[in-house]
Amino acid sequence: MSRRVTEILAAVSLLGMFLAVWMALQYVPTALAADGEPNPVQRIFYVHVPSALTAFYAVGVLFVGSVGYLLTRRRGFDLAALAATETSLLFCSIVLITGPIWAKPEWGRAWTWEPRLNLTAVLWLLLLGMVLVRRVSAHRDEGARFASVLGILALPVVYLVYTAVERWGGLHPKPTIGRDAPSHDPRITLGFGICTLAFLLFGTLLIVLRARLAALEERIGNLAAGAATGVAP
Amino acid sequence: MIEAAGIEKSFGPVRALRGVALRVAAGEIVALFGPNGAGKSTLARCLAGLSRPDAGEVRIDGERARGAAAARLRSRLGYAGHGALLYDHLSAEENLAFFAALHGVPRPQERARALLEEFGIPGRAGDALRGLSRGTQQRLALARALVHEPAILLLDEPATGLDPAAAGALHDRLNAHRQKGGCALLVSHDLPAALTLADRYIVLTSGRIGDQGPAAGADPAALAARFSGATAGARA
Amino acid sequence: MSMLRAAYLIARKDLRIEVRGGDALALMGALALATVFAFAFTLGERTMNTLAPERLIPPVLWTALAFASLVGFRQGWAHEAEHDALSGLRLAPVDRSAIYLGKLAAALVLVLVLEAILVPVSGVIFGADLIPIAGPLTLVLLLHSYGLCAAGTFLGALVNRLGRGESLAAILLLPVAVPILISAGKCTSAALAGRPLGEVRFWMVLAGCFAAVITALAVVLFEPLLEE
Repeated sequence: MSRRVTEILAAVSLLGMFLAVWMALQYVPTALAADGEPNPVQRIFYVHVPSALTAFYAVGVLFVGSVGYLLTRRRGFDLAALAATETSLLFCSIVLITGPIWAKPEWGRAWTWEPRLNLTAVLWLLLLGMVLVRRVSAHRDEGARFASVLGILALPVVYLVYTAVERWGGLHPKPTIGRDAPSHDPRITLGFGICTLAFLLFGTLLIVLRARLAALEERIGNLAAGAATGVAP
Repeated sequence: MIEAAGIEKSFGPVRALRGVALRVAAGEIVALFGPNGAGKSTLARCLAGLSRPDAGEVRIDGERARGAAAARLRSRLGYAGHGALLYDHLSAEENLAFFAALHGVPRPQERARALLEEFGIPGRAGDALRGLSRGTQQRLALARALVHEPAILLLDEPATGLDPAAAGALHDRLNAHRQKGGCALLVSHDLPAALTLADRYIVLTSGRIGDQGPAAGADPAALAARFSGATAGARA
Repeated sequence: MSMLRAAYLIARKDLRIEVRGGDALALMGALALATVFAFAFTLGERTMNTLAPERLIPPVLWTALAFASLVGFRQGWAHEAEHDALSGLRLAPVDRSAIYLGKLAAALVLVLVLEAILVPVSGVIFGADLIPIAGPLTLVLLLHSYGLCAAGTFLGALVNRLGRGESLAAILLLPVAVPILISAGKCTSAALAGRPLGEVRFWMVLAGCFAAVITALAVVLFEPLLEE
């Protein structure tokens, strides 16, 4: 991605995040808890769900990058996959932290051990494993290959999480926005939409920047190796 | 007949092979020399199909070893490398019989026994690989490479650990192989012995082919001096 | 040579090595036993004696099997690394996926042998009568053991190539084998409670689908895994 486009993306996503923060904290109406009292903690929903969607989106990028790399062996695909792995790990961590914060006042328990929660934690473990695989590999190409292979196995797990609620039930609220559901206050829909968009853009920015960083790291590594052996790379 | 063109191979930042091209025609033995770390073993593994080159292609009997043809063409190759490519817990005979069966050799047990006799390891048929000496293991490794009577041999320092008698027997075997129309690429550090056997020699330094020429009349000492000098020059 | 025949030869070779001088089965058994007793000590005497077998046995059994089988998967690939024997397999004119299938078959045999010992012993020490439910229980064990081995064999190969990745194997196996573990828990529990397997039909089918998908993916992804 060219510098110009990246700069525009950075500006837009940062603006978007500011807007999202304002909307989440100020704009949307305070939700009411079951007993009718205002429940400000519910606002964390506007971080929790967009983070989850961004994490899944990053896993999608990871999958495409992994398949692309295995088929073409082009560096670009691997850089995208590497960046997407770390980005999805970040957003998955946010999901796992914000979820219990929301759950404790809402349902009385921070963690309820239902399938969707467990599978998200398992996804997190898989993503961490993929980061470690790259780190433990003897050299970049090997790490890229092994991580790609794992990446292709990762997506089914994510899919399982997303359909887990429908299939296995549990306390986790079912998605109500965008499906046949009682109509919400339009501010909620707008706030949620903006937050999701902002997170997705920000996530994309992180992937791009991380990929660029990885490319630079590799170039430095090559130059250093060339200098050590006295032969031009 | 085996040939390679434009072979590039890197391991991370290390460029092991840079644009290597060579050809070993039927009925020819080519010796491959070079300093340590030149990429000789990497090249042998690329030719054998064990290492996948980043660029370039390998052709066996004129065909690219890819896709559906790959398995069939692999059966034309015999490779012996730094590892024995054998199993510790199986006996010599079981090891050979297993690989013979895997290569589709009819009556693998018989073939295994015949090879053991040919390579001088008969009394050891029942012993597990672990109990065998280094030299015996090496002879067994060579036997394994030849179990399916391949036309193209890729041997990476095959004489390592062999006593003079066994090394001589290997030379005779390779001569016979050449006479039957087979070809071989021989990676070696023993220049005089290899030059006696080979038709041509190739020198690999820092992943590139440098010197090459007919083996007849080549002076081992001068050759060695040149490619050691070549490495020193590149570092300067 | 057909892929199945090559896989058979490789599986037979693996099992021969194990019989000859391998210690995989012993290590697996020891680890399984250690896991069971780790549960025993941490759950405490009262829980161990009062909790119904269909609640107690599935988690203990399948946790022990999951970790014990990892040892088996790892060992299976260690043999290939010793003298670079894996290259010998890759030089053979057979589909590289045959190597995966052969190793999978051998691993499955080892896991089933382990279960043949572990399950009756569990029945005894947990005070559950397994004879009347032997049929459904065997079916559940077969299906889920296959799924576990399909995933584990593949990951064992990956971890073996990495060298330093011993502990990575456990981290990676869990996410990939999750559907198998969930299903195994539910089906084993149903079988132990004497309920007909038809009740847990959904999970059996899920386990079967997962096993099929993992096998198919592993077969396709195996070649890049073996590359240098």
